Amino acid sequence: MSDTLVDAFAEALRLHSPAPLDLTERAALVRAAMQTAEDEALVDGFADALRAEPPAAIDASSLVQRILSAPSDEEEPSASPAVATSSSATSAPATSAPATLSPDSLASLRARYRFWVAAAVAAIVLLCVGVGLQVQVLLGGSPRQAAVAPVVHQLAGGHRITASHDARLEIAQSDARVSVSLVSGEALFDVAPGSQFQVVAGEERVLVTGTVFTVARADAQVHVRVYEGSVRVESHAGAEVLVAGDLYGDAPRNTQLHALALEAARVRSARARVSEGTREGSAGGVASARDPERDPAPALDPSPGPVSDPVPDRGPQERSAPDLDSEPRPARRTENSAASDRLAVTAARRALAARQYEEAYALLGPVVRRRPTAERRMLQGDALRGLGRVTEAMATYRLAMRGASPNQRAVAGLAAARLLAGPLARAADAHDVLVESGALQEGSPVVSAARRLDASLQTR
Amino acid sequence: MSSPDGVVIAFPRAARVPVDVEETLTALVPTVRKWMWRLLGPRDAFDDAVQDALVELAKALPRFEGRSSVTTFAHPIVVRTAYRYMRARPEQTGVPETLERAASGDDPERRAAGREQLERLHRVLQQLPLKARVAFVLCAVQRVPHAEAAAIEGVSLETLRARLKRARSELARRLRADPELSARLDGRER
Repeated sequence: MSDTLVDAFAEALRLHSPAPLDLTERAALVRAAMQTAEDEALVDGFADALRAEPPAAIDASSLVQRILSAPSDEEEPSASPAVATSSSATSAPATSAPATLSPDSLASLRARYRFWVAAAVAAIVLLCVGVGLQVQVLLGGSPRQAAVAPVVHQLAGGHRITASHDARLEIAQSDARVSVSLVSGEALFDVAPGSQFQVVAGEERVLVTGTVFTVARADAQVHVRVYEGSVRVESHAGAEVLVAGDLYGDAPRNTQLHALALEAARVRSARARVSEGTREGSAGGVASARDPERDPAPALDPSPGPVSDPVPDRGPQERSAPDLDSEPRPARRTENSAASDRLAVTAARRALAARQYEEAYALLGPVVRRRPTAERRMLQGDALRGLGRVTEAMATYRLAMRGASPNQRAVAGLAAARLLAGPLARAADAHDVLVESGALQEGSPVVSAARRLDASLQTR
Repeated sequence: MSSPDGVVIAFPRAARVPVDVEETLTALVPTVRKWMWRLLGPRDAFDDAVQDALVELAKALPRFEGRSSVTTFAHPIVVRTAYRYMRARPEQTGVPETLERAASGDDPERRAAGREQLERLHRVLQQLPLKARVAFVLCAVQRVPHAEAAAIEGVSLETLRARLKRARSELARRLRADPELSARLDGRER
């Protein structure tokens, strides 16, 4: 009886399947997957190169001297240091240390054993140092960088600045405001959240509120590399928002600072995850609940559309649509990139909710380039529409329709159709988009709004 | 060759030549979605999970040497991706209305009923321990042979059978405790 019931249960599960995708949707899905795979392969190659970082510099000669001098008061080893000899010498105590050996013989064997172990350790250390230096040269660093340790400045407020040995910094701090002037060299900044922190390097000013990044200055050239969070770089040419993985300028990196920055970003991501988990736990432990602080609603449309239901009010289905960026990413994707993308999308949502469309658009640009999901494109469309760039917004919504789930496609279609029907005055195209997106179909999350819009199009 | 679901994937079994990744992925999309659907159930992150699985496949396919079918090669990858999602967010978030192809056709009432039943089925399924759940889905729902399921899970046949046994007994207990669902399932059986 129980077995039959369980079999019936399995059969019932088999009967349900997801709605099929048409060929275009499948192709879009596959293209997006292949693009992401290529990007990740590139990042993985980068990470592999980083893993070949050299070991910390040591005084190899004194270490070798110390090791070699250790058995000097013992019996001298055999004069022929051939591998076969060393092998037999090391194996002798283990395999044939008979009870009949005299104490002198045992001492002699132990001395030989210690000598050859020490020699092997010295050889390995020398080899590691040599390979490490070689790898560092290949990676673009200089052996001198490895030999000279960076200087660490621990500031009040939890900020940490790690400067290259040749960097010149001027630090001014008052209350929660920190201003660092980078005269020359390169420095890594691990900035605690919730403070006002800026780095001035020549004409460039880097504004930050909690992130990990490096700034390098060589003559008139300034380079910024962001490892976690986002920063805003201001110069006479304008302002630019950089998120993790972005590079301003094109400087050869200092391998030591680079490794430290990666570690700092990793630690910060882990802390963020822990605090996020704590917040969710204290909020009742329901993982699917949306935290309005962390995940505010999509942007509001400043201008009323042709129908009473504004685009961002996307109906119950869409309001409960997933925050794609809160889901786990492929395991091989770098933690930094995934975490910073989530931060950037969350920040963009906040900016949209605050009607700071330019900020939202700047934040979303790199994120969409890295992984153009339907949700991100729709946010980008919201930002463009807020900026009054309706043609681009419409095109972005239409891009969002590709590879989106049916719900998202319908919502993006309605958003595009509203722009076509309103500011762009292309009623026929608006109708086509509504049909194409499935927004008019029964079961669509925006079916009533879409039908109202379509009806208004018929009367024109 | 065909997958456990009867989906025909037209790739030579012993092809030593590198596969066309785009073509292979495109052919695999329906199968991957079906597998993911059965493993995860309907949830908001379903599309993301499918995309992540496709990304993993896109990275893995260049290493495919034709020693097995493409579906056999792909199945463990999809299961591993599903595990990540199951661990990250085990709760069911409801059935997206248009995500499901209802078995009951276009009748809205029957569709709603089907959706409700699907929710109930997955609620019960998700109460199973993770590994037992995956074993049950692979063997009982997807009808993958036990040996292949064990290979997908990377465990011995005995371990898989133990998981399956545990899943079945646990399910039977939970179904007995849900008379309404049991009655419906009995009705379906009749």
